[in-house]
Amino acid sequence: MSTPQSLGLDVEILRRLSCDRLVRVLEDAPGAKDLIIDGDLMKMLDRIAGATLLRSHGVDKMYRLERVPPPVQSSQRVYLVRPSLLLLKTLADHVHADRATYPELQVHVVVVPRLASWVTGLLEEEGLYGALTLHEFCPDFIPLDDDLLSLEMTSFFRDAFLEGDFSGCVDVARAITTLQGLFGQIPYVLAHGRAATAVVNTLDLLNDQNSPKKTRQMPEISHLFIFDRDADYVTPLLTQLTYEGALDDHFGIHAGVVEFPGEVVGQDTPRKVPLNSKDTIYDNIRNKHFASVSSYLIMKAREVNAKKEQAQTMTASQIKDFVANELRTLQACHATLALHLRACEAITKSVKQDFEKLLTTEHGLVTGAGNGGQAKKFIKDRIAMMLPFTDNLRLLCLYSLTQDGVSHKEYKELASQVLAAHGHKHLITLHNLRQLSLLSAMESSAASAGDSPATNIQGRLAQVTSLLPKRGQGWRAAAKRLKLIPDPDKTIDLHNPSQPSYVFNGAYTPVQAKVVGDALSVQGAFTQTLLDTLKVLPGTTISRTPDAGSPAGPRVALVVMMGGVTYTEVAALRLVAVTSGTRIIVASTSTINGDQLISSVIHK
Amino acid sequence: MSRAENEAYWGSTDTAPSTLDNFFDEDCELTWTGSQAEFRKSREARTSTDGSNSSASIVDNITVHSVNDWNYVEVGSGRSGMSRSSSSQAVAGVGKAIGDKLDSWKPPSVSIKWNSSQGQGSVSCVPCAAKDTEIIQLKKRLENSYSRYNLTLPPDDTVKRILLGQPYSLESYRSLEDKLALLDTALATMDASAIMATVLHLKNTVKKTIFITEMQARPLACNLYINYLRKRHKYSEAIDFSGSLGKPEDAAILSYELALTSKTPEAKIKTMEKSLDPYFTHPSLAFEAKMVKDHIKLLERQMAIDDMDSKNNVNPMLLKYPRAANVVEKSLLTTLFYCCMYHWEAAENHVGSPMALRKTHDITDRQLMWTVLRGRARVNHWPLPLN
Repeated sequence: MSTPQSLGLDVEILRRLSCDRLVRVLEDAPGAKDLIIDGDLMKMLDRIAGATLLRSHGVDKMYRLERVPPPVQSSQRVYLVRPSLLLLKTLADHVHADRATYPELQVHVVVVPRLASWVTGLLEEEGLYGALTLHEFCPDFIPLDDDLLSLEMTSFFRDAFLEGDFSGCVDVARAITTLQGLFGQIPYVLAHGRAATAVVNTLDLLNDQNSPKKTRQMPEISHLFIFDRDADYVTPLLTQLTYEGALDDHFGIHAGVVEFPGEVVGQDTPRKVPLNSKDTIYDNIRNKHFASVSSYLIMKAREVNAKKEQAQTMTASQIKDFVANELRTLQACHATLALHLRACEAITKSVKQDFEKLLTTEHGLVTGAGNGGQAKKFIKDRIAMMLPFTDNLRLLCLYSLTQDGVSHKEYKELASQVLAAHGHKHLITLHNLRQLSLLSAMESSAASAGDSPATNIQGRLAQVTSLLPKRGQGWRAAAKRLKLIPDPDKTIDLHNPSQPSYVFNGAYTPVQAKVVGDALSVQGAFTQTLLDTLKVLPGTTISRTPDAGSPAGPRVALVVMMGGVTYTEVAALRLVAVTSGTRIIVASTSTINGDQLISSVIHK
Repeated sequence: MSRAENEAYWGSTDTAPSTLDNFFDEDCELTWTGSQAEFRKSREARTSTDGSNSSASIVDNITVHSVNDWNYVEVGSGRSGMSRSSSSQAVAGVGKAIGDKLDSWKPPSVSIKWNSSQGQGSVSCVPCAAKDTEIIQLKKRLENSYSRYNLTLPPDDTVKRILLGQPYSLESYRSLEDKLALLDTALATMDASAIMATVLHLKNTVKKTIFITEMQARPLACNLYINYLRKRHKYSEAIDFSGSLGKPEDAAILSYELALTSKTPEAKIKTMEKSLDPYFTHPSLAFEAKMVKDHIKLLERQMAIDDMDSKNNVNPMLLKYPRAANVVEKSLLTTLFYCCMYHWEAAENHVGSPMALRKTHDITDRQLMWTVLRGRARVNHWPLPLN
């Protein structure tokens, strides 16, 4: 499916900016140096600069940051880390160990993206404050594709939503400020959620810092939407059904690159394949529902074969033309088609036998059409079978969310089974999930023994009323208000979809797609009904509209997701872009799928 | 007294120790607000009314705490028991002092301060007395606030500097209101870097009870602080803090987490048992307490099994299917799987008996069925349903 052609907004410029900044930081430590990089940052660095560029600026060897320091070779060391306390402690240990044997070693620490107060605090405590030089490297959004930007902050979800550390919001605000500096101040702003409002407030603060230049510049982006991950937990918990989503679920896409195992690639060793719109075949299939992918691929393969057969019967001059122009593209097409066909095969094979049942249970829970009791039995079976931990937790959280919480008795039952199957230490994991409200157990009112008859009745009444579902709150009420669950009688065309709910077989629409679609369907300011419906989601809303008379700019929307965006949502938003005639650029702290979301809160 | 007489009087004394000279120096940090002045004035008044030259040393002039004594003045309040003669502080003198201050922007020299007490002509009246003393207090405070030692930067500015990674200083925030204003400004930005810096400043400079009271009102800061302590492995502090905040569940989970960080299973068991008593006794934690107890029981059993099986050369199953891994610290169902493999026939009092395991840990039928099937299948025993 094609998206509206680029309206002059080139996101590649961001990559060049980040690259320049990196070079500047490297040159702050002139001469030969060894680079020690935090594993989390390696993939991001790959997207910005290659090894050759690094070597041309004096980098000799590159190591991953681990507990044991690498051998000292050059006299300068540059550490590239995120401001995490654990990493810094390891770093401090390294420096202490190395300084003992090599006192003239110069150590530079580059903190990505921003120095936090606890960094300097920890270094001070370790007695290293003046002994090493601190630098900051602030990369902007990394373009994973023309319409997908990411900051690769994979720990943002856990840090912000579980631990209350919203410092990543300042970094997102900085990145958006760079975008506004390049493309003009964005006039329409809609932000909902704790992290989102923090970003908008920081944006204001940063704008006041910078001189108000270029206020009359015609903005190239007209809308800015910011959402929190907790506005929609259901989408990442469900199994992804678009092709790109399925690739992510099965093989794992990191920073826009997937690592296919040997049998898919057709070689012995696994190979990393970048996935973006430059590959036209991939661009056409990535958002399709999985069911229609293989038929498309087969059709294309037939075309390619037909062309090849045509080549058999060509005259000499025609063949010359052919070899000059078309042969290479044909061969590339052939290779990609083969790759993706094999990937489809691998996915269908590896899917477990009860996949149909899984999908029915998932969609049944979401639409409310399924049987809660049966779903519970299904979950218990899966736990007893000791299927992968993250899969079980996902289903459990989905059950809890869609039922607006489980009763205390059910919680005890399910929790003890989970702990029995996967280890008692996950008591902490379950606690974390409850903090996030992914798993909620309704409190039981303990009936005390020996009550007098009068208070006993009151107590019982209180008990009964507490068991009734609270009206107007909870996930189901929110879904109804936002109209996320489409009418089951209307059929959904999975092959040429017109509604974003196709990503889940018509059972559910991702919240982002719905809200953005609604907002963009109206010219001008955000309607009051939209702002009112947003109140059902956790957090508060900030909305801004430009003053009358100032230019609104072309229809380009930047949708930012704080906490991770799934490829399913990206596909849904791409459809919304087509139906509303707007170019939508999706940005996020990182790309995420259900397994990654849940794994980030599992106690190791 | 005239100015010259005043100077003569003070300058001429030879009984006062030389340290007295510094007493009125503006550059020294004086925490006396009113009492010193009152003392001096009452001294003056006394000498002027008595006419007799009383001793000039401090020791002889210390007032004894007595409610009836009209010289008695509380430091800081200054309104009770004012000396009546000092009510005749010339209002004009006061105005002169403030006027000087506004003009010159320098802390006034001592002489101006004392000279303002010269105008003693006006008649003393009781209602004015209180007002006048209030004026004196405010004057003192104004003078102190102009002193360069009491400078406080606006909290917005400092928080912005922390946020942007610029150099900042928290040293000037010394009063409790200033620190709390700083903390609240940081909380408004939701930047963890700023919040942690201000929280740590508060913690380090204020006593524990005040810290806990203030943090209780700010749940976001509490959450952040507890997780900071966790990441620094300062578990006992975190547990203490959660306990004082009145959050037993958090304290319990933290103590369990601390127990899990122990290196050996024996240490784990010991720390878990120790944590059970103080932290898991709250009624809302009944389920969690049971889980911890189960964990302890399981670990003990696993250690016993491991001990036994590692020395065992007789069990045919162990010989045929050598152990892939140690069963210690695996989950309950994995342990059951192991027992089904190697100790299927064992009697119930045997540590590795599946039946014993099932009874102790209350394993459900569903879990039992799946695990037994897989365990027996692993050793090629396929229990078929009886026809």
